Amino acid sequence: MNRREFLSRTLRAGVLAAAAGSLSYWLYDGRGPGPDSTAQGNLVVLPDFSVPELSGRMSVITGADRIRTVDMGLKAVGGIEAFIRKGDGVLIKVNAAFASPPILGATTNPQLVSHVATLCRKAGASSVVVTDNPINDPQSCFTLSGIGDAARSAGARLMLPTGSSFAPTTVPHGKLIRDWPLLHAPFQGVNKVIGIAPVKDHHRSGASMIMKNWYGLLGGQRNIFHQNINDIILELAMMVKPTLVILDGTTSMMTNGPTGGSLSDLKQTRCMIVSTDQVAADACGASLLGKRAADLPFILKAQNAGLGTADYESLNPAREAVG
Amino acid sequence: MKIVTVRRISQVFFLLLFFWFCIVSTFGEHWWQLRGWPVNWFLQLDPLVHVGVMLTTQTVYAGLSWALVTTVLTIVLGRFFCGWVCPFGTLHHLFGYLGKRGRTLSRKAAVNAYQRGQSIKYYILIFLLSAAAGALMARAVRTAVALAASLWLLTAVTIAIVALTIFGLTNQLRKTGTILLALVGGWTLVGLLYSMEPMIGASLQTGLLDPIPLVYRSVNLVLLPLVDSASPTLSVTQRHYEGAWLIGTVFLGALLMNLRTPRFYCRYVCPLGAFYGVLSRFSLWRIGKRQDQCAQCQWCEADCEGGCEPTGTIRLPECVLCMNCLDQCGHGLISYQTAPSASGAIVSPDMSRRGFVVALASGIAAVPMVRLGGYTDQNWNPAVIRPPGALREADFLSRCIKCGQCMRICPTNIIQPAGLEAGLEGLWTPLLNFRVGTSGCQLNCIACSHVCPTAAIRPISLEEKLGRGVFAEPGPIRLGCAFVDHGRCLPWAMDKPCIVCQETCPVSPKAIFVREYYSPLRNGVAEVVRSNGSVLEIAGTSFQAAQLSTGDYFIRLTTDPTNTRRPIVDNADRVLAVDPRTPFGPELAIGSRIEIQVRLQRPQVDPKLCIGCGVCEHECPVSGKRAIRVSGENESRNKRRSLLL
Amino acid sequence: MAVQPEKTETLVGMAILALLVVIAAGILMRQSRYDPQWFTMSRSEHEIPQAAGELSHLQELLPDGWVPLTPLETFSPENLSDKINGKAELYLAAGFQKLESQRFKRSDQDDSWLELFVFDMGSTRNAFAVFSTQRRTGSTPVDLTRHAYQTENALFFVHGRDYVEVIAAEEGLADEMLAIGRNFVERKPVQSDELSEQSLFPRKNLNAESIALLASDAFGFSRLNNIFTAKYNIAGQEMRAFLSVRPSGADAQQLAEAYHAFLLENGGSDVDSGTNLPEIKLIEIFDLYELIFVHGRVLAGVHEAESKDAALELGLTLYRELQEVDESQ
Repeated sequence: MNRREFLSRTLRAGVLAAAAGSLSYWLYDGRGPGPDSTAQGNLVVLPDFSVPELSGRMSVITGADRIRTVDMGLKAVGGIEAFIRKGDGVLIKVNAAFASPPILGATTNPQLVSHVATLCRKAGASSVVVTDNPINDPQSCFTLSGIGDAARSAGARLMLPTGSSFAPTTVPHGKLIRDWPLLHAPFQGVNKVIGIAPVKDHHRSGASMIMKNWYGLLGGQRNIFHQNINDIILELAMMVKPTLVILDGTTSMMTNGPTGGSLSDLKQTRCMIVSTDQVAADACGASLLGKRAADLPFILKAQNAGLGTADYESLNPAREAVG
Repeated sequence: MKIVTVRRISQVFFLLLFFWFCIVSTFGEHWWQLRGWPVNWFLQLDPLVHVGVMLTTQTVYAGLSWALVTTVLTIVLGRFFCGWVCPFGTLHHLFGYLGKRGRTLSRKAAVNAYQRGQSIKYYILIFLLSAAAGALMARAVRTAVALAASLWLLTAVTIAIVALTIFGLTNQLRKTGTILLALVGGWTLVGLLYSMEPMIGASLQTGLLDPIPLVYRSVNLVLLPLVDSASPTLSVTQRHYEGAWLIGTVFLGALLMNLRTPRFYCRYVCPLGAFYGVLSRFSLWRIGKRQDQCAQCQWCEADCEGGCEPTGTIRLPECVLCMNCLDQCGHGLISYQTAPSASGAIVSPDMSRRGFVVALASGIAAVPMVRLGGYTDQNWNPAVIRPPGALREADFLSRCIKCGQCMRICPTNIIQPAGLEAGLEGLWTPLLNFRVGTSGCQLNCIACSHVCPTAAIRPISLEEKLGRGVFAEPGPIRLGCAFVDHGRCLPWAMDKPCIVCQETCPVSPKAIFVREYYSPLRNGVAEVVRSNGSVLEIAGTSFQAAQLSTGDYFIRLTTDPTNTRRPIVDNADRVLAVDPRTPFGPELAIGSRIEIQVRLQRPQVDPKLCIGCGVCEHECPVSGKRAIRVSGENESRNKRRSLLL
Repeated sequence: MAVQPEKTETLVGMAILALLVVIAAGILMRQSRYDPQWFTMSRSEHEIPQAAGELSHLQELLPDGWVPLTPLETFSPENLSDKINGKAELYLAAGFQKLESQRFKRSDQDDSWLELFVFDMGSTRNAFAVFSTQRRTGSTPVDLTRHAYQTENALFFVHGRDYVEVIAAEEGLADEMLAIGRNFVERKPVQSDELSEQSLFPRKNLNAESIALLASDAFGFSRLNNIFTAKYNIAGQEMRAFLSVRPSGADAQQLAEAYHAFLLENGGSDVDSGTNLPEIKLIEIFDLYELIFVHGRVLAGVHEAESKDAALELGLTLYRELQEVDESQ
C-alpha cells in the first residue's frame, strides 16, 4: 500500500516538475523585451477603396437644393450604381467634429447624409456605416449636428468611437502617422468609402474640406499633428483612398473656421462637388473660399504625391445648374 | 553531524551571501562593488517572481529560469527554501528564537500550535496571482470570443455546471471543478457582453509581500543607507530614499511580530511560502511519524518553525523543514521519510472554497479598479519619470517587482521608490527624482537596466541610450523633457544672470540654449552729474560698490537711437566706470539720462535634443521647487507622449 | 534526550555542506565575468569606449609604451564649445574648421596621461593667429616648427594649417610630447610655415617671440582685422608695432582713416609728428601715443607707446623697413 502510494506520488511530482520545466522552457526569453514593447504585428492598414475604372471623374453642380445638386452630380459621374454594388459594405465619413447645429455649417449637412445613405441602400449596399471621431463629445456631436438622426432614419448604422474602436496604423511611406490609433472598428466589412464634408475655412490649414476631414479617423493625442498641418493632411489623403467624395459647397464657411458660430461666417456659394479625385475636389472647393490651390500647400503636396490633380479643370468636370 | 546544525550553517551561509549581494550592489569594478556578482540570484531563485512574470508577460526572462531549481526541489523535498535558504525566513527564525527564549515548554508549544489564520497567506497568494493573470484571462476570453465556437463553449460550460449540480457535489474535487467551470463560463459571458480591454490589465503586485523582493528592498533602501553613513567606502555621500520610513516600518513590523509568534510572517503572510506549500503536495520526502502512538511530550512542537503540528496529523503545506522536531524527539519517532506519516498528513492548504473564489475574483477585479484612475492611460502622471530603458507604463507594471535593485545601483541616487505617484499599483516602483542624489541621470551609465532582474527596465547598451551607431535613427533614449518655469527662473523672473542649466546640460549639442535680453534695472535710470567720458558720476539712484562690476551690467543713453551699450567695469555708490578704451563721446553731456541694463541669458529648452536626464534640474540654484524641471512628456518609451512630430 | 544522529543524517549533512561550498565557488567564479560597460562609467566624460582594435590616426603618433585612454573625439564649429567652453569664440573668430582630440596614457600608469588637440584652422595664417594670441608668457621656444614653444606640461605649435596642443597631466613629459610633435610634423609634410608679414618687422629691439596675429577686433576696433603685432623695447619702454597687408592701397588708406577717426572719437587728439612724412599720423590718447601710416598696401603703425619720441622712432624704423623691402623687390 505504502509503496503504491509512494509511486503514485512520485509520478505526480514528476509530472508537475516536468510541466513546470517545459512551460518555462517554452516561454523562455533570453533577451528581454525590445525597444518598443507593443506588438508591431497587429498594425492595420486601410485598403484602397477606389474603383480603378472610375478614376478622374468629377462634376460641379450649381444650385441651392442639396438633394437635387447631389443627385445631378452623382448622375454626372456615372450614377451611384457605378460605385455601389449589391452587397457592398459602405462607410460614410462625415464631418461631425463639433456639437453645433446644422445651420452653422460646421458639420456635414444631415439631409445630405441621409440622402446619400438612402441612395447607397437603394443601390444594394448591405450595410451603410456613418462614423467620425469628433473633437467634442461624440454623443452630443452626432445628436446636435443632426447627423445621428439622419443616419438612423436612412437605415445606416451610426458608429461612435469607443476605446476599443481604435487600432494602430502606419501609413506606408508616411512619416507622421506611424503606429498611431486609427478609428478602425467601423471599417469592419466595409469595401466602399464615401467622404462627405462641407467647405470650411480653417485657421491653421487655410481650408478644411475632403482631405482634412479624414482627420476624424485618427485617435490618440492627435492634436500634436497640428504642428505640421499640411503634411498631416497629405498623409491623411495617403491613408484613405476613397471610392467617392462629396464636397458640399452649398453654403461655405468663409471665416472663423473650422468652428464658425455665426451665420455671418457663412456664404451661399451654391455648389456641390462630386468626384473620385479628392485632390481635385479640394482644389475646386478652395475656389469657393476665394483661394487658389496654390494658396493651400496640402493640395500641392497631395498632387505631388500622385494622389490626384490640383488642376481640376483637366478632368473636364461636368457642370450643370439646377434650380 | 546533526541535520539542524547543517540547516543553521546553510541559513547563515545564505543570509551572509544575501547581505554580501546587497553590499556589493554599488557601481564599480572593485571586488566589493558590483562587477559580476550575481546579486539578483535570490530574486531569480524566487518562483513567485518567475510565475508572476510568466502570468503577466507569458515569457520567462533569462535568469528567472533559476526558479525552476527551487520549484523542482520543492516538488520533491517540500518547503526547504523557507527553512534553509530564505534570508527573510532566517531573520524571522532568529527574531522568533529571541522571542521564545526563556519561555516554558508549554508556552512554546502553544505559540507554535497551528492557527486557522495561517491560511490567509494562501488567499494573499491567490489574490496576487489572479491580479497578475487578468490580462492573460482577458486574452483567453478575447480569443474565445473571436472564435464563433465560444458560444458553444459557453453552452457546454453551462451544461456541465448544470449536470454537476444535478448529479451531486459529493466530491471535493468536483466542487472545485464546478467553481472553475462557473468562472470560465462567467468570464466568457462577460467577454461576449463587454469589451474589457481598456480596464483589464496585468498588474504584478507580488513584490509587495513576496519576501525576497521585500527583504532586498528593505536592506537596499533602509538598512544599508543607515549603515552607509558610518563609512564612506560603500557610498561617498549619504544616500536618501523617499518614503523609506514606510518600507522600514513594514520590515521592522514583520520582524517584531516574531516576538509574539515565531515566523509570524512566514506562517500568516508570506505568499511565497504559500506557493511552496501548494507545490509540496506531492513531495517525495516529508516529515512524519514512524508510529502513531507517542508520549505526546510536545518537545517536537516547542521549536516547530512552521506551526505544522508534527505531534498529530502533520500539515505538510505549513512545514518549513526546520528539522527541529526530528532533532528534539527524544524517542526518535519523527523522521524525514518517503513513507506517509503514521499519524496521517494533511497535504492541502487549509482553504475554504468561498475564500478561494473571493480571493480569485477580487484579485481579477482589483486591477480594473485601480486602473480606473487612468494612470497608465490619459491620466498619466508627468512626475512619473522612469529609469532609462523602462518599458511602457502598463508593460512596466507587469514586470516590476519593486525589489529596489535599480535604486541601490544608481550611482547618483536619483532612482527613488514611488509613493502613490504612479497610482496604488506603482507603489515602490522606481521613479527618478532629480532633487535628491548627486546629479542627474549620467549619460554614460546603463547600470539600472542591467541590474533589473525582470527587464521592467530592459537591458540597453550605451549606443542605444545615447542614440549612436545603429541607434542614430531612433535617437537617444529620452526620459522626459525639461521645462523652464518662467515664474521662478532667475533670468526670466528676477533679472539675475544665471545660466547654470545651460552650462551643465551634458547633451551635445546642448539641449538648453540661451537668448540674450537686456533688461532695465529697477531704479536703474540716472542723471549724469559729471563725466570724463569713461567715469560717470550720477544722481537719482545709487548702488552698492562693485555691485555692477560683474560684466553683466551696461549703460545705455536713453536718447541714443542706436541702443549702443557700454559695459560697466566698476562702480561706487554714485559713480559708474566704463572701459576707458571705449569712453563715451560728446553725446554724453551733463544732465544726460542713462539707463542701466543687465544682460540676461534666458534659458530655452530644445525638445528635440533634451533627453530628460535632469542634470539641469539637479543643478538649478533655485533650490526648492526648481526653476527648470524634467517632466515625463516626450519620453521615448511611449510615443503617444511626444511633444514634437 | 538528544538522539545520536544517524549515519545517513551525517552523510546528507555533509553532502549539503559540500553543495554550499560548490555554490560559493560558483559565485566566486561568476563575479569575475562581466561587461565593464554595464556597471562602470568610461573615463572620458561623455564617450563610449571605442571598439577594441579600432585605431585612431592620432594614436599612430604615440611613442612606445603609450596607449589611448579615450577614443578619438571630433568637434565641428557647432559643438566646439562643448570641448573648450569659453575659449571657443577665439577659435571660431579665427576660422576654426575642426578639432580632433584624444587622451593617451602610459600603458603601465593610469595617472600619467596627456591629451592631444589638433585644431584644423583652415590656413597657416589662422593657425598662427590662435597660436600667437594665446602664447603663454615664460615659455621656451622649441626647435620643432617655425612656430613652437613649450611650457612645463605642454607643447604648442603650428604646422601647416594645424594648430596643435599637447597638454600633459603632469610635468616631466617633455620628451614624450616632443616625440609626438616630431611624429606629427614628419607625417604631414607642408609647404611652408612662413607668413610674409613676419619678416617685415624691423629686427632691432624686436622681441621675436612676441609676433602675434590678431584675427579680428584688434585694439578694440571692430574693423581692424588680420593685424600682425610685435613688441618692441626701446630704451626701457614697451610698445607694439603693427602692420597688416590689405587687398589694395585704397583699402589700406580707408582703414587707416577709419582707425584714426575711431581714436579721435574715443578721446584721442592729433599731435604734430614733426616729420616731413605727411602720411604719418600721430595721436595722443590717454597719455599714450598711437602712430598710423600707410605704405602701398600695408597699413602699419605703433600702438600704445609711452612717449612721442619712442613712437616716432619705432614708426620711422618700420616705415624705412617697408620702403627697403619695396625697393628690393
